[in-house]
Amino acid sequence: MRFLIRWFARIRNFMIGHRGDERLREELEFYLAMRTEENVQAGLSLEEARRQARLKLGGIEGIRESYHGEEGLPFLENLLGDVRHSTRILRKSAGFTTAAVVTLALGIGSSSAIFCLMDALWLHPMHVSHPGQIVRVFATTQQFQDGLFSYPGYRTIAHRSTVFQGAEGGLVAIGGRGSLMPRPDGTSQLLMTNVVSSNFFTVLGVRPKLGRVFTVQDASQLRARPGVVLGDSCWKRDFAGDPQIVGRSITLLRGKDTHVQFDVWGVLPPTFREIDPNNDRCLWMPAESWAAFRAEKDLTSREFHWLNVLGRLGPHATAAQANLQVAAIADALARTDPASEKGRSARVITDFRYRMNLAGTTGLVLFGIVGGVVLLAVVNVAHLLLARALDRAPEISLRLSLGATRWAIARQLLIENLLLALASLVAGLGLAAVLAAVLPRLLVLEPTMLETFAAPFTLHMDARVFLCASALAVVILILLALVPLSQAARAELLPGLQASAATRTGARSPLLRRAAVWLQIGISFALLVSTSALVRSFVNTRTRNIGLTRNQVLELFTQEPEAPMREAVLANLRALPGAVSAAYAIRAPLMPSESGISTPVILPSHPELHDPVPIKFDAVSPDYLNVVGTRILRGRGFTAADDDKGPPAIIVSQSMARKYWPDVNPIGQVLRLPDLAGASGEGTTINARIIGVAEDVPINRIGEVPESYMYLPFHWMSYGEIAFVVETRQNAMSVAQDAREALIRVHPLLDPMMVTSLPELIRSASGNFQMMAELVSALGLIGLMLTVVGLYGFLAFRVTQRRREIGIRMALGATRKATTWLVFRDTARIVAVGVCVGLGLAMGAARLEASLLFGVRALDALSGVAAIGVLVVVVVATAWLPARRAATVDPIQALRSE
Amino acid sequence: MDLGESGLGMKLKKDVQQGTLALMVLKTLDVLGPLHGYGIARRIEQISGEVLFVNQGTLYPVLLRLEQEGAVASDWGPSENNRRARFYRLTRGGHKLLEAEKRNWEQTAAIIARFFDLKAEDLS
Repeated sequence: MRFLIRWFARIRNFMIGHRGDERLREELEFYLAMRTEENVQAGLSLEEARRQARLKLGGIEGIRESYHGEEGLPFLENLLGDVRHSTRILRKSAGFTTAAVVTLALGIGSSSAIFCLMDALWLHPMHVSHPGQIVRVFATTQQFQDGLFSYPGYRTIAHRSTVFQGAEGGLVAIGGRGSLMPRPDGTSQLLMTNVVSSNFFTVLGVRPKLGRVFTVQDASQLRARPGVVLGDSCWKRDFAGDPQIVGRSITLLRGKDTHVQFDVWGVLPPTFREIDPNNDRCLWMPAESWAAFRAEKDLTSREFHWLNVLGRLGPHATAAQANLQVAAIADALARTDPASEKGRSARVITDFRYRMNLAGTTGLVLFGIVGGVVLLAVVNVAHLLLARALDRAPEISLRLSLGATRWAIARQLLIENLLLALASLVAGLGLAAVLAAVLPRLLVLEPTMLETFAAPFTLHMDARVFLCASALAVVILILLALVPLSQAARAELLPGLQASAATRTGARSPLLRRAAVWLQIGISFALLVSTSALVRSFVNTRTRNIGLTRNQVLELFTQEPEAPMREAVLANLRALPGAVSAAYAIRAPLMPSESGISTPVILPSHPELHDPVPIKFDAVSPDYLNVVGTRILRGRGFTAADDDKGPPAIIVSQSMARKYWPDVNPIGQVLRLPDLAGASGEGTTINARIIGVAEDVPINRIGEVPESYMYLPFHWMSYGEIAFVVETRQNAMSVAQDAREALIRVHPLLDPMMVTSLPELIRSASGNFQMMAELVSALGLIGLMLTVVGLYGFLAFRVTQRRREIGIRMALGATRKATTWLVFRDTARIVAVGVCVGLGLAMGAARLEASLLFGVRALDALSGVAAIGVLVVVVVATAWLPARRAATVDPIQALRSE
Repeated sequence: MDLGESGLGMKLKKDVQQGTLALMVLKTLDVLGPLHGYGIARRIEQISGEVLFVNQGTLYPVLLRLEQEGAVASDWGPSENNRRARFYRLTRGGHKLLEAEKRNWEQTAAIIARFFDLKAEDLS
């Protein structure tokens, strides 16, 4: 209690700035008077009595200090004093302060923005309750580790597993499909539909924004009376954000003309983006309603694998336990039900690991490069501080000699750095906010389409970004704190006062500082090499032959019509102004939505392969390969004669030909395939003869490892979807609306679900390359700038340090040229070592980057020479000013200033 | 007469010293009633038989601290030779504090005394 009262008084004194100096002065005066009187009475002269009294009293300053120490909060007062002092000093040396803050802000700002981006692309957890418990379950086969489940397969695992918690076994299933919503004009609109198990929302813990979500108890009702929940962006776009939508019904199409009513149960919040961070599905439909609406067999077929499975781990279960149990269940299923499950198993990983895998090498490389830039910034500022330390040595010596403790000096220097770090943090976050607003516009993540389904990609600066930036600032602060601490500990009294800082320590250039410059140049070199490789790789995606034409080709995706209608559409498309040619296929290359269609193939030429091999394929019209620009390397392409009356013909990709017939002529080889048109019933096969070999074409992503691929005549295949392609003379998207109407004229239901162009698809398929090229160039540029600043500071400082030495050299007859050369030679040595360091770093980075490149090696002679060239130009330009300063040293001045 | 430099006041650490000094100040005020700072210092020196020297640099902070704690109160008043001086007096809280501190001190002293009286045979 007494303690509290006392502190209260002290805090009050501190706050109102109360100082009882007057009271103490009076007390002391009284003391002196009394003492003097006493001494006079003891027989001393007045003069001597006064002197003795003062002696007895002791040092008045000391008394005042200890008195004041009891009075207020001296620690805080000193701190405030230090802050004031530091602010004054920082303001006085505005040049240094600006350089340090700008450098650190660049580091903090760019890294925060990149973190924002990585967070938005990959790292952000799902908006569900306790996201840490969420795991992903994948079906596995020998080829694929990230497979999907059939509905019965999902149910079996959900019922037999015990490690998950929540309704219906704690596992949820989600499958992406599409539904058509009729428009008043007879056309229809595709709504991306997530078919989910009825426990989906309860297990994940998703609350609706409006209305309610369905639960397991609603399952039977949902079968009798279909219902949906709307996604946020669909609700806003297609239903004008109507708040009264809940309880009303919407119409969806079954087949060509059956209308089915769906009750709208609720609307999801915008934050819930589930599976793909970029994909906001329009409709969320319970599996029961889907079965009643479209196809009962989607829920009963064991062969139809279409569901992603997620689970919520029980309170004491780990992902590893779940993995073991789920794999055991799947393996047991494969034994009891070999017809459909043979060779299949399952695995479980945490959602976090799944997303880390998505980020993959790209994330790692970005992270490494950002780390390099931050390191550059820190080294730079450490440089600046060290240079300043020498500048301030006289000041510190003076303060020491006036009685300041080393701790007091270190504290004041620390506070200076703290202020620097704070200012940099604020500036850096500002920069990050600007970058976060600009970045999404620079990145290509989705192709441009006539109608776009994806919600716009935006970056958010949330608390996690702030936290990361602040943590970074703290780390930087701690690193920088080492400088003043060592400075205060090493400060000497006399030398600092004797010589001015400028000429002190002429010969001594600490290894640490040299190493810092080497590291800077090394990091810059490695950044330049990476930039060069990534930019060249990006250019390659635009210029190299990828097996697809670079001409303008429009692509329209719609429902598959009957043959006469297909021909009518082709005729309409060819008649479009500017159209060169038109064709169709069941799938266009580089589609972002799926990974390609495959079918089991038996290779009679390879009897050692007992089981059929799944091989991806496309079914195409005769002109298709011409229109999209895929060349036939051997044999011939399809002609109109390869229709259902001719002998079954097939074209294979170069990779497939190389893999299976490396030494023999692939033309004429026979493949046995299931009859995909289903005309002659299930289980029948067709023997097809290879008539040609086509060049490899990327299936999903530019730069992917080419795999076996086949082209079949279109009539073999009934898939339900079709892509029309039209080569145009002008920009393909400019005829998009005309082309769309050309389809609708044939039948309103042919209104395309998606219209885009081949250049757009190529652009978005190389988006990753572009993103990396853009980001890494920007970071490389920032890094180069930081290196220039750091190197300039170092050289300028060296020249100042060596003024006296240079003066003596010139007094002894050195020419200006020789003096200039002195600086350049010094610089060249530093750069040479720096490049060696950089080569080491670049080699390390090259191993990481290899998988991100297209058509270039991560570290080749061209990139290396280019990087060295850029560095030399920049370094010479940087060294120019210090060298001139060295050359203009006046020997008399330099020696006199000593 | 002046043992101040080598006396108790300089040898003990600051807070211990302050602790004892505070107790002495309280007791002095308790016995002698309101006193000014100089008077307190002189009385303590006299009572200790001039063995102790009260440093003004510690006395005034102790007085300030006791006042902040509410153990003493102070007012200006005329001194015995008609000078303006600040007089300190014990408050009710001060009395209580003195009692507590006194018990505390006696207890400590008794324990220490027992240790000094300790002989080997006492423990055998």
